[in-house]
Amino acid sequence: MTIFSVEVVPKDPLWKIDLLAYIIEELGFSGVWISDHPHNRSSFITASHLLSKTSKIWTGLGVINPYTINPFIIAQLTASLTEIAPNRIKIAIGAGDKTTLESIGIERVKPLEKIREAVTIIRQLLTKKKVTIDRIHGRLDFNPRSNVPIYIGAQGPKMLQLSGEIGDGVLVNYSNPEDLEWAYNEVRKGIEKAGRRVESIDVAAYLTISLDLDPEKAVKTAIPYAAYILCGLPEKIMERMDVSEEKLIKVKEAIQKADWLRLYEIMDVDIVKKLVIVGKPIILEEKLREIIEIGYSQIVLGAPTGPRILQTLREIKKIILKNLSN
Amino acid sequence: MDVPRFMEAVKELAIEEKHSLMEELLDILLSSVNLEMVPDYIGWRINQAYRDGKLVEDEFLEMLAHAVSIAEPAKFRRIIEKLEVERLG
Repeated sequence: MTIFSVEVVPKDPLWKIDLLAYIIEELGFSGVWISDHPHNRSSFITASHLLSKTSKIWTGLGVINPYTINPFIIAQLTASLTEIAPNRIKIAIGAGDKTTLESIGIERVKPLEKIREAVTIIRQLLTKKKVTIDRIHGRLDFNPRSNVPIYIGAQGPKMLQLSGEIGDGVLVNYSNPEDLEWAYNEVRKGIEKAGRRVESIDVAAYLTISLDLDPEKAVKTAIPYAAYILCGLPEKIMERMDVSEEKLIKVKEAIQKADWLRLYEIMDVDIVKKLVIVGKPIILEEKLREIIEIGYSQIVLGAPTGPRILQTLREIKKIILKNLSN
Repeated sequence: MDVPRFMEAVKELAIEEKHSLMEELLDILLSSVNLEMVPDYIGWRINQAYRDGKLVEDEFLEMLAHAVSIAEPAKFRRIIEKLEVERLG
């Protein structure tokens, strides 16, 4: 059975995130993923609020970065959340974006080792209340109230494989079915290496979508998101994008200056369509069928969703109910 | 001045029309990238009124209109103009 969840971005005020979560719960989605970024509100504090205000949906925190928050503290915060809403919490751990980390004075060294170590520390603390690995040893003096699945946010081949090897789930941040199929196969390599069963891990397609009855508006809304994705693509996917080095430098400059008007000038619609599910709502139906067919067990409907968020969420729910619920 | 104009334009609307207008305004508000401009206390009152099913009531519709006029003034003016055209028939 495929699970459907929605991303909320705590760049927005808490009163909006709170209302959106209420509407998402009313519409019958399974959960919300709260994105995490140093420039935005704290995802843990936002989750604490949402978990106390909702009763049915789960809340996922992701992607939490162990370079910015010590894994021991991630475990402590997560265990504290289980007291608010046991069995309604998921967390995702990821190595994040090199440029953002460097801008706040953090060097992103050995990301694979960092994630493997972080998952080990967090899992041991949440399940055994103590951890002893290499130089790290410590304990929690309280009981986590429930199990918390640990996902890994992954894009590159090695991180995707690691997710399959050690994750309870994986958030795959692509939207194009071709890229998602490649990523799924990389996850499977890790699953096979660890001798696990594919059903034991929740493989989630964390889609970037922008839908509207007016496709031009949908594209305009998607452009800043597509630009961010473009700048962080791994080499393997970049090869398929057919984007010149010169164009990429211009896009990076516009992002660094937060010059959205410039981005609208230089980002081609074709590039946006390769990175984002964009257009009329009906386009999503076809894409979702392809993605579910690949084997994804969760679909995360990621920001921006569309220029009209409520209208789009209601349209998506109709598509799921009519054609894809199983 | 826009909010009183808006309230004048909606005062004779049927409840179903007010409801769909409220939904349209709420969608514009929640889709706005300018929500830091909206005072938090207004946001929370809109939030609670929606949960209570009261956002369509004049007191809260006025508050919603005020929030939209702050976050999306051009879109808000277009809505008023459309309402006034419809009212004049």
